[in-house]
Amino acid sequence: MSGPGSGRLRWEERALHAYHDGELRGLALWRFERRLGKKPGLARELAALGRIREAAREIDDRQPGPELWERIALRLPALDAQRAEAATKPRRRATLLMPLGAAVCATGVAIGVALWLPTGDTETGGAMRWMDGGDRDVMVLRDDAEATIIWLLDSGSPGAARGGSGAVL
Amino acid sequence: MRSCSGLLSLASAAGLLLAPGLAAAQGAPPVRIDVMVSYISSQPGSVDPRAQRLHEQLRRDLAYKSLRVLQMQRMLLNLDERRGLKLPNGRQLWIRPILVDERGILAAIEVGDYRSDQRLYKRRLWVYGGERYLDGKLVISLEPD
Repeated sequence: MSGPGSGRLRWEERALHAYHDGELRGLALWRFERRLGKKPGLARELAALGRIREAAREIDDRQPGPELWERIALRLPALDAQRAEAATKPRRRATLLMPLGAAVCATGVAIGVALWLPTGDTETGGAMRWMDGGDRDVMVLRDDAEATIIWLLDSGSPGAARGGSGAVL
Repeated sequence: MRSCSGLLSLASAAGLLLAPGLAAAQGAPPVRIDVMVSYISSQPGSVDPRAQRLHEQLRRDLAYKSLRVLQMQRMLLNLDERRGLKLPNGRQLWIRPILVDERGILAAIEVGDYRSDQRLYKRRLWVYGGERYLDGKLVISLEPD
């Protein structure tokens, strides 16, 4: 891409900005003004630079009013709250999941102890050690200090045994 | 002849040594299990007073309108002795005590295809039900004595 004219373009560009900023002197100034007279495109670029400078000056001149600071001050607590929420969200998920995980683990351990450890039973412990219903669905309706009730379910109505619907019979 | 008498004396000595253990195993009191086979139905009727305790437990979880006792039996079982009881629906209940302690019995219980090992506690009902019988369901309840 670096053709024979590319060095001249780079000089023109540097000279344009230097001329615009009033930094060109002597021969360089004479040379650039001569080129500027011959190339209308270069004159348009110089004019565009002038417009940009004016626009930048206007922006610099605008001072923030007191209402702007009030609006920012009003937004700050909301921003702080959003930031705090974003920071605590993963932790909140973790704190929600931790009891769930603990409950699942505890349930697993309890089932394991109740079902598989014959030496782990107590006076009020579960009666079930292991069970195989064969091809039929069997449900433990209750296993507490008063009774252990194991119920054979009708096929296709696994939920029918419980409750007062009478569907069990 | 000497060798034969030696063997005989060795056998009798071994018998004397083993005899107390065998006697203890054979002399262990049998396990007593009360078995009650009942029938619950949605047909209106009464609750058999012999099954009042069972009814109090069952009605918390099951809906029925009548409860009738069909069989009551006290089974006397030695440890590891497998004993069967024919149920009214033709299936067989099998019980085999595996272990006995002050809290109750660990027993292998089978009803048809259903097989399990259960801890039967004293003063605590163990109930298996749901086998079809007539228009209702059979209920088998066990309680060690």
